[in-house]
Amino acid sequence: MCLGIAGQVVAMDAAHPDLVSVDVQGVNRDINIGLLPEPIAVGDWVLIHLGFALQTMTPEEAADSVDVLLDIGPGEEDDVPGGQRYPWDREESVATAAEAER
Amino acid sequence: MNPESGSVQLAIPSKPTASPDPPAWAGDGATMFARYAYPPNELGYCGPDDHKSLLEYANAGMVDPGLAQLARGFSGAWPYLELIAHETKIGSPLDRRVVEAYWLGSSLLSRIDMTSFGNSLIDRFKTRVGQSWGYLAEAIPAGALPTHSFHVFGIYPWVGLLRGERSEHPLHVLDRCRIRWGKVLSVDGDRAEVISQPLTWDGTSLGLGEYRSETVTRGIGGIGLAAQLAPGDYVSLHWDWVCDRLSRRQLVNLRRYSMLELDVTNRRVSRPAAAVVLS
Repeated sequence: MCLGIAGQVVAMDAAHPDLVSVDVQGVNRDINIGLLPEPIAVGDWVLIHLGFALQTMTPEEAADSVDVLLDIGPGEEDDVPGGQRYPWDREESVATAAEAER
Repeated sequence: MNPESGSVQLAIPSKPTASPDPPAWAGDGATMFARYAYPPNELGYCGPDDHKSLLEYANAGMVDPGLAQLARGFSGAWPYLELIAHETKIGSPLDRRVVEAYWLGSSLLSRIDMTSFGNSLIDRFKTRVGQSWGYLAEAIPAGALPTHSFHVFGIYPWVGLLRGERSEHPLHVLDRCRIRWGKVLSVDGDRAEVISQPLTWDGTSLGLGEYRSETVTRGIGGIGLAAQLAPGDYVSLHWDWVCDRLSRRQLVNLRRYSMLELDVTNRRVSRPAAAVVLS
């Protein structure tokens, strides 16, 4: 999520006009919409970064960004089968680090 | 028992432990990573949706493959760690020296080939930022280094948004998202009062304002990220949290590399430029 993520507005907050609740990958989060130039409504899609909606998105744009997120999210466990997944699994890393320390 | 807060420490997290025990240098860096990554993760901004585990790891000072897996899930930070580790031939992205260079800045960064840094940015961002690529690419010859500070000020869209009508929002995000430093005035349970310099924007450049006090979080129910704190300690801050107690060397480096990035950023925003909106 560090690079922005799509969310769909699921509820407005009448007491706080700058705040809305969005659904991000099935998780509801409160975000600030104070930077958007125009009002939005329940059902709209927005690009979210660090708690703020930065721009509205079409459903198609949102779907594309979700696909990208899914590409880089799950699946890392399968990247390096049979171990070698962590720094300390690699003996050369240990050796190199020890060398650098000297 | 935490003698300062009087609360019970969490037990060591029971995460998967299929791999061999990590060497001490790896654990040190992984724990450090967790301390700095936790605050935005708790807010749901970055990384895997498992902030409770991250807090437990940071607090316990314990590392196992589960923590490394969490760290790899930080898609913003992890490529920088890999780059620094590769370029310095240290090998492990979770080596303490690598992690410290990314979050705080250190002389280790001088060993990074700028062409490699540029290529890594091309790989990750060129297709995302479109017409703003030229603006971003200027950062490297201007002196930018692969740190968290660069990611905040150089990659994120918030500097570009400062020129909008409501600059208070971008300024707030930039200030909390950067790693800042402070001096502890007092500690009261899970809260601490510190003095720090806020980020400022005068319409043309970023800077640091006068020291002022702020109340920050040092733990939840006695479970914190940093070691025990005392008045007079210098600490690093990320969002509303105290991440760690800083040594004098770390404090000097954090200030030095933060000011360097501000200088690079100010030279770039001195000319009209589009907001770098990553979408």
